[in-house]
Amino acid sequence: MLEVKNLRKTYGGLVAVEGISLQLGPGDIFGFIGPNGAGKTSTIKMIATLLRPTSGTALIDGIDVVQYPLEVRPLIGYMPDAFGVYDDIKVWEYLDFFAAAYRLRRDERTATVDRVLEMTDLTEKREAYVQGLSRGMQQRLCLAKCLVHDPKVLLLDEPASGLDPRARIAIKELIARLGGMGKTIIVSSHILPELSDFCNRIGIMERSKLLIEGDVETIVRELQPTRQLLITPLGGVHATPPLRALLEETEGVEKVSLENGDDGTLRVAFAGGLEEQAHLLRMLIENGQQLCSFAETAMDLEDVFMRVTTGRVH
Amino acid sequence: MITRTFRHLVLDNPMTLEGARFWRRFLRTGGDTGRAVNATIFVLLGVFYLWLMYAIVHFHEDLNAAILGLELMLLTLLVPASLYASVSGEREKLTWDALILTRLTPAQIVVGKLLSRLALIVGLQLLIAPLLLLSHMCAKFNSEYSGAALVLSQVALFTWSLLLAGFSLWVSTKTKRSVTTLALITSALLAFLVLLPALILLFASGSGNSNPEVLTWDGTPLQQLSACLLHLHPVGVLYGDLMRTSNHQAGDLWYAERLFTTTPWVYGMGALLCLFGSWRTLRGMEIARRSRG
Repeated sequence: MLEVKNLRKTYGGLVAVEGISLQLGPGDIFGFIGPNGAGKTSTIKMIATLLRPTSGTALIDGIDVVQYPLEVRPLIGYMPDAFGVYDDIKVWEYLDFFAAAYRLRRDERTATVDRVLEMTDLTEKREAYVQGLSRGMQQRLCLAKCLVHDPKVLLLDEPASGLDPRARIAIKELIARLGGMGKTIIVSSHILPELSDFCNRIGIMERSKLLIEGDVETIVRELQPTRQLLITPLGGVHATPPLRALLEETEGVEKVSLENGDDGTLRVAFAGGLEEQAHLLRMLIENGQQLCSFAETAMDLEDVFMRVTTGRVH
Repeated sequence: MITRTFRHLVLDNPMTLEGARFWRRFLRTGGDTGRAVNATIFVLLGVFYLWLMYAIVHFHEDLNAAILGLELMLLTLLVPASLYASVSGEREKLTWDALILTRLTPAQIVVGKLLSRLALIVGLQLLIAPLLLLSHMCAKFNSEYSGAALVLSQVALFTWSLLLAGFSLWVSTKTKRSVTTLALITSALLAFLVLLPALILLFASGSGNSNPEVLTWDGTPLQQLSACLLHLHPVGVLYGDLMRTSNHQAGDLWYAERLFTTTPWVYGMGALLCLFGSWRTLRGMEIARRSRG
């Protein structure tokens, strides 16, 4: 559905985007992660036909965005990070205007407006004036506007920035629902927990380069080949040395480090699978270790991000 | 072909929504306080309007010159004020990208924005027409304007307004900030309406002679050019050409003919050129986005 090939953008001497390539299919929700200034917005704008790449291209549904921007535009819904809405019109008029601008027939428009209002949970605000809506509702309205022409690809640049937690959750749920409807979605954000819930694929950008890209599980496995176990002994930090000594002698344990100095929790890098993990727990108990907790901790997007990026910006 | 173009540009043009927005903004600003202020202004204007009618009927005064002056002033102020932010304002308010990503054509954008303001021009002229008619019919003495001259004045004012609208729209497409657009339009209007006539009267009519009557077609090339510019001035049209035409002075036919064939046409052609310029700029912006980013 979306294929990006060696996309590159320079502004004079500054390289904003350096040779990005990726491929997304229907239903993919791609989380574009990176610090401010990494090149996420430039990449999204190039895919949205609003910026011409210096080199490389992107294909949406097989159509080149550089050569045929006018043909591509009806296929995409673009929500910029900073957007404006027209004043002095009602919510339904705003959506009807964009539906008409996308050349939907007059008789289709009312049903379309009702559909996107329901989808974005704005039905109650149908007759409200746009400028009277809260920031969160305006975000949803902007998303509703992106949906009136039923695009195949959605490009959402920081869709949840500046929203309160409730509105943020609502936007996240909506994006997940849209992904479920088979739309290909690119969501950029620098707030990682925001993306981890609903993205099946991620790409991490830093200093104009896409450092890593793929589905979340594969990336985590690549970056963390061992299981991470957190083991807390009863008795706190005083009970840690014998437990640590026992773990270090055990087969499959690659590294043991103190995670929490207060309760004596140890972080264990363990190379075995789930069965070996169960054996390890039984062995510890049989060896007289009294444990408060024994749990695997999964690497989250924040860990991935911190591992991959250097923290440097342009 | 014509019907299809008309449908595309007028009937099926969503940009005409601008008209509704414009009037709502005009009538509905600032909540209850704004509504109260608007209501007060409308009542005062209504009283003034009725008083004018009463004065015309009761005192048999010919107020056409004053009414035309008022109409010229209102149109000259209101038309640019309603259009200066039409495109630059979209960029400022970050709505432009959303607009350009739709399937709207540059022609639809230009025509839609213009059409919504045409209502303002026509509405104002329709409002003033009864006053002119009444003043013409009730005047105790011969009116300074003949009936034909009054009709001509409205044609001239309409085309002048179109020129202003086209020019405002064109400048708006060229600039990124509304305040720049406003400054450019104001400067251009001041230069054309005030500075240029002042300079012509000071210098082109000869040393020490500031009588515009010497600026004739028989003078030097500079005087001919100056005469041409002065006769394109809307004040010159309303208070010079039309009055002379009405009073059957020498050159009556010549003046009327020139007025018919030149001034409104020049205004109209100027308006068309500006609209074409706006269209080209919008189209150029689309291409520039594609080629340059």
